[in-house]
Amino acid sequence: MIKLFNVSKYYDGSVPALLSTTLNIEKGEFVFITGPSGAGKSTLLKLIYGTELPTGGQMIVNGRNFQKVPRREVPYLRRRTGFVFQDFMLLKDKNVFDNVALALKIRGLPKDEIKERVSNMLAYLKIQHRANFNPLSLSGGEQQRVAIARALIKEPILLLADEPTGNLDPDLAFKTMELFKEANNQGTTVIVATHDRALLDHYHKRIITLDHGRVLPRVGQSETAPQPAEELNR
Amino acid sequence: MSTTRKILYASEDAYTSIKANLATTILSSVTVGFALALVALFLIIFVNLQNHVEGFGERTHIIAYLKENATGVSKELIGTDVKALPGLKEYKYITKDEALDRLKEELGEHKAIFEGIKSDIFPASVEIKVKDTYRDPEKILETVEELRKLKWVAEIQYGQENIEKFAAFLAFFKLAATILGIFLTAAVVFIISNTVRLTVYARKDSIHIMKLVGASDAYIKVPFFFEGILVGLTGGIAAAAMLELTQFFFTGRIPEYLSFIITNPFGWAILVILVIVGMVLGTAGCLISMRRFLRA
Ligand SMILES: Nc1ncnc2c1ncn2[C@@H]1O[C@H](COP(=O)(O)OP(=O)(O)O)[C@@H](O)[C@H]1O
Ligand SMILES: [Mg+2]
Repeated sequence: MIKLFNVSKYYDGSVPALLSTTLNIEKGEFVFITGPSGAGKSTLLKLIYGTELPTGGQMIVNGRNFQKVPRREVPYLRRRTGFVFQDFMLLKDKNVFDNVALALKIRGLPKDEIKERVSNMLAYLKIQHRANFNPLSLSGGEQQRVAIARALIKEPILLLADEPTGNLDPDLAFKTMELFKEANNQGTTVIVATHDRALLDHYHKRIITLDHGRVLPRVGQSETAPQPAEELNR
Repeated sequence: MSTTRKILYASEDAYTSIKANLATTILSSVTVGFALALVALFLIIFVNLQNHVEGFGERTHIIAYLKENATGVSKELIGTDVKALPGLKEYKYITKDEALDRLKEELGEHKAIFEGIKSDIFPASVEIKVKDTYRDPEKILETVEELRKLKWVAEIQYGQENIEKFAAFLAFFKLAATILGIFLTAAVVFIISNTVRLTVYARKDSIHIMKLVGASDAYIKVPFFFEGILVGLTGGIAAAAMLELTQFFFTGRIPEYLSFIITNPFGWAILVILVIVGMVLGTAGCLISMRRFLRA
């Protein structure tokens, strides 16, 4: 599903956000990416989503090489990939319902179907009472759930989540992970960047640990993974 | 089927986003309206003044008085001679009788003083009008020089001074108007494009997010397209209203003989053109200024 070979990413200076990373994530896998703040977790997810291009190396996502995808095809690649952004990225001039519905509207699905699917998703994430609210009037945790709803509503074949539980209390954090697991059971490849030890410990999944843009040697279980440094939630 | 729905959804988006950004939209419309009204008003005044000033030119003509006792000069000969003049538009032979009649007419109620006076004391003359292209002093002099060579011509009157002054004024007027027009158009295009750019800039985050979620460029453009049309349409209507108001305001407040200046010579056409120009500028401006954000 996702293959990185010697991928590096330099934003501007000489310090790499990601350095010579070689990775292989199979279709249907559930993977955690962890590591201290600034380690390159977000960068890795953005490379996979194609919003950033690698400065070196080769990468294939879902059979496509983003470096070679024509600009006008990019939107179509994004329609079956869900991304929960660390900073939510919600539209301020649309209410919660429309923010989530947008992911389906751009595909031209029938109105009734959109209404039903969005309502169900909002209900499941317990924000249906906020459907007509502006995202700006919501708490951080509520906004995060809207972002999660928008990613999941796509029924994505690949789900990327950047610190998706950062603003949620433990109860809701686990509930969100259950949603991700459910999607994973349906065949969705899931990649979650997190520094939440409780999650890493609870779900015995593959963990990729990054530090200073490098993948640390695989140590198997989360108990032995290095404790992330003080997370600045960047 | 899904394409139709996409268009429908994008149009609904246009409605919500225009509603959400109503203040900016209204502000843009008013700005565009003022800018367009300014240009239209300038155009109206310019065209009216030009027509008026050219009317002056229309009234300038050359009069050649005939020698008193030119022997062997017939009306036919005069006709042939005059027709050979460069730049001739039309001419009219005025007999002694006609000259007297004209004078009487001009004197109106005082015409009695000419009672009993014979038309013999007035010279016959030929009135010559030149083509539009011959109306500047140098060209007119060409015609006058040719006239002088004719043996039956006694004296020529062509309002030398007036023509020169008039030509100088017309040249200055056109130059000034052209410069002013260029500045005004530049300013208006600048104002409109900046207004539109600000509207788009205010929504650059939205454009970015829509792209991230997977919306196609076309889907993202639709609301801006509608907004451009709306801003142009309302701006054009506002401009048309401002023009009407200006005319209404000045009517009766300025002397009658000056009122031609603000009288709209184009009729409804200018209002329609204002709306169309507004829509084209608004839409084109929107689409051009959002390209940058779509590429990012
Ligand atoms: N857009 C950017 N421009 C410049 N530097 C960036 C940008 N995004 C991230 N970085 C830098 O790249 C490094 C990795 O960042 P990031 O991938 O966000 O780490 P993480 O998500 O693990 O906290 C950091 O040093 C960060 O400052
Ligand atoms: Mg990050």
